[in-house]
Amino acid sequence: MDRDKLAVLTALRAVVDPEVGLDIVNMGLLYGLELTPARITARLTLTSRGCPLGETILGMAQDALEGVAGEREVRLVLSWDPPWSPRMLSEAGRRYLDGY
Amino acid sequence: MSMTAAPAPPISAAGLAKSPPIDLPMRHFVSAAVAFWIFAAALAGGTGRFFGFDFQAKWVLGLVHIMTLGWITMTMFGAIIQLSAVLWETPVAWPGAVRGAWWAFTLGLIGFVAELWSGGSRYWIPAALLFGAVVVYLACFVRTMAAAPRLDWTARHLAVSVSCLAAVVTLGFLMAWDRDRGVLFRDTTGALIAHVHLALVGWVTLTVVGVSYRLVSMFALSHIESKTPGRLALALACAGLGGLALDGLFFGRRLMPLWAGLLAGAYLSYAWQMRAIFSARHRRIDPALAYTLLALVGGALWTVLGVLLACGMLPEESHVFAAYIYACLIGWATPFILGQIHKIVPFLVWLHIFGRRPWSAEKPPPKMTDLASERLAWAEFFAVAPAVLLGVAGFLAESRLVLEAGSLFLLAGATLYVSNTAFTLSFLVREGGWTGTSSRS
Ligand code: HEM
Repeated sequence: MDRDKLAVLTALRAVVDPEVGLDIVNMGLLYGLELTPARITARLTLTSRGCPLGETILGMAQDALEGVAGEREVRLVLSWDPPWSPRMLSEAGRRYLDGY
Repeated sequence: MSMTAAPAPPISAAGLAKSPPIDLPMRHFVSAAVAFWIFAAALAGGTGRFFGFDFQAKWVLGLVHIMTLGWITMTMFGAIIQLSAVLWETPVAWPGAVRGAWWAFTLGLIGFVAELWSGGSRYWIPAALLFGAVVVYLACFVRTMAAAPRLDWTARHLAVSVSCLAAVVTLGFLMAWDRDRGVLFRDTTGALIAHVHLALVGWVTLTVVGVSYRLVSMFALSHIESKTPGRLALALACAGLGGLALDGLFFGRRLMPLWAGLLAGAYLSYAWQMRAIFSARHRRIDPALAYTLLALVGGALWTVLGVLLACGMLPEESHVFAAYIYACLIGWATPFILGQIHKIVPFLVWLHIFGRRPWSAEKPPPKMTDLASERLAWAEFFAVAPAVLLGVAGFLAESRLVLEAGSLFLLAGATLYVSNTAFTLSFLVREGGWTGTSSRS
């Protein structure tokens, strides 16, 4: 993975779901990431359609990406396909929650 | 994770669920906490009024409605208002009317209990205010549901439960008017049984059950594979409750064992569904989930007592009815509510304070668990759990001593709950403010 992508992923890993205590990457909320010289596009989902934290989590992700975007535009795409389920937790996320 | 994303329009916050202004749900939770504490304190100081010659029906009736209307219904209204964005993907309709209804409901309840406790007989007047307030709440909920893009499983439970609430308050108002007149109901016990079960099974339990599928799986990070046991539970509960209410009101209570059997079957199916949710969980047992497990035990106790009463295996005496109602209110509804509310109140406060602030990696916001004390919550749990068992045992055995012990545990639990809620709310006072929306904009 190139350094730019790693920096973007690291920024998103700092965004923690305040209820679960786990970052959005390990939660499995990040469905895709595309980096071009002009733009960072992140495809994200939420744990449910009516997630009351939705706006806040997306706002935090936007702020985090803007912190590493430099001159590039940041674009978030909200995706419901496939719908999120706990199966999308990463292995590290599962281990964290098991111990928590 | 795919590393490419096809071009798509950027998100707009308008498409996402908006929380209601914080004062809307919070005023319900705060007044409910006060009612819970008053109930526990009055129970602890008045255990003698439940037994023998000292039995005081009006005092007990007032106490029961502090619990059912002040604590349980008030919390459920607050939770439905807060969750409407989650459940129905649409904010609750007519927030101004909800605020007005909260005032009418609170004043109506104070008047109702005050009139009963002072031995008066015109409690049907504040009951009319309560009735009016509930009609406004129901209108707001129905309007909200009508605007929902889809009605999911939980919402279907709520559609049935709010219909039951309409029947409960209508019957309650008519019974309050008729209590000293005796013209409306030929079989007053049958009417009371209908009111109590439409309230405890139809309104309280169906709301709890519907919300539990959604909230418990959300808090436990659990995925429901099959909803068959839950669907069966809803069908059995509707059949059992409908039969019981009609039999109680119009047909002389001839088939009570049948209705009790159907309701017991509903509870078993529900417990089976919850078992699936708990076994698929991805989180450790915290106080909220422990409370849910306690509620399942209390619910089982309530169900067993109900079946024994309906089959004539327990005497139809007031102390047995009291044990039965206590098992429902303190054993089943209260632990469930406490479990969910321990998540909901810190959530609301967090969202209101930190959800609006710009995020920065240098100073990330705290976790929601930081806004409440888990140790206090555990202490509260270990006070409420014995209160359930001692209370039921005390009523069944007609032992004032055992009931007193249970009520002191409950008072300790209620005091700890109020303290923990005050601790969470103190963040609002320190950091935020009381009114306004919680949205980032
Ligand atoms: C406008 C609202 C309500 C009014 C005016 C009302 C009124 C009444 C009245 C007059 C009785 C006594 C009937 C009798 O002894 O003949 C009663 C009993 C009872 N009500 Fe309600 N009620 C209301 C709402 C509720 C709700 C929402 C619940 C539960 C969630 C509830 C639970 C009960 C219970 C458990 C009893 C039995 C109490 C006992 O046996 O001492 N009520 N209600």
